[in-house]
Amino acid sequence: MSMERVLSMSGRLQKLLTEAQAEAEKTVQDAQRQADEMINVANKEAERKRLRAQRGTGLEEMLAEEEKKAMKEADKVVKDYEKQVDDLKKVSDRKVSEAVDYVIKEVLPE
Amino acid sequence: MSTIDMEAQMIEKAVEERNQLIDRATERAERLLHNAKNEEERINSDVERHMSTIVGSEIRAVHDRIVGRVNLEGRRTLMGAKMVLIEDVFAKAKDQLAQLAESGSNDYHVVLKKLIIEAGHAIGGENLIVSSNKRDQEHVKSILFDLGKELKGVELELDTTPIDTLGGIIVRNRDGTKTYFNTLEGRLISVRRTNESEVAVKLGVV
Repeated sequence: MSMERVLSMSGRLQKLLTEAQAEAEKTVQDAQRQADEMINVANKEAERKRLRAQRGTGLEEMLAEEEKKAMKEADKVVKDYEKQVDDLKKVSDRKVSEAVDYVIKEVLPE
Repeated sequence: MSTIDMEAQMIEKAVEERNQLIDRATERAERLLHNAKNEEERINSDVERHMSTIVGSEIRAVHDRIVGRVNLEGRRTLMGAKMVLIEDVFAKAKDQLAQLAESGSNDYHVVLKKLIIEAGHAIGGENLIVSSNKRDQEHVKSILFDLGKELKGVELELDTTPIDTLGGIIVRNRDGTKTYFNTLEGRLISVRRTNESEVAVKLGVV
């Protein structure tokens, strides 16, 4: 192998590594930029919400949203009570009969 | 070492180094984004908490107004349904007691006797007047006759004016200072007052 060929190969490989280094740095920089942007947006949005809440603006919007949530929860509550009432209507005749016997026993003297 | 081997070794080493560079950078990038995501969640959660302290009472009021009202109505409906069921039990019990009283059976005769004795003990004294409905008067007369023989020194008298009752009796002393209501419906009301919760347990609707 001639010295020239070795030097040429070495140069090309060095270039490859330099490019890889640059690509790696770019990857990290891009990620850092994206992370900064995410935090920046979150901070701005948080600040906007804080200010709106402090000024009372947007309150109606929030209340409307809460009302929607509450209505949804209320629907569940209604369904739950309806089920309980339905279950009551299914109390067996045997249980009713036992309860009647118990009442009669209590009413009549021993 | 041949020239080709040397070349291969140089290339292999360079590629490995390159891959390591890229892998480390990728890992670092992922860590940065992961941390940013966590920070974003923390910021959002902080602001939600902060806002909830500022407008929390209004939000809670909306929630309580809507869900609270439905809860109240639901509880009322459920309670109503339970009461209907319990009412049914007591109505059926009343029907059965009426049937027993109307049967004029020996069982009812025994019941009447026990009711009179219980009332007599509760009032005490020597002169007692027993009232019943018109239908039961013959039964009561016969019971008083028997009891008169059993209880020496106690004078038992049937009130000829009938009372309006399903069954059972009312006993009072002669001077009218003490009265013991021992009618079947009176006892039913008393049982309902004291044992309604037990009836609910028996029905499994507590």
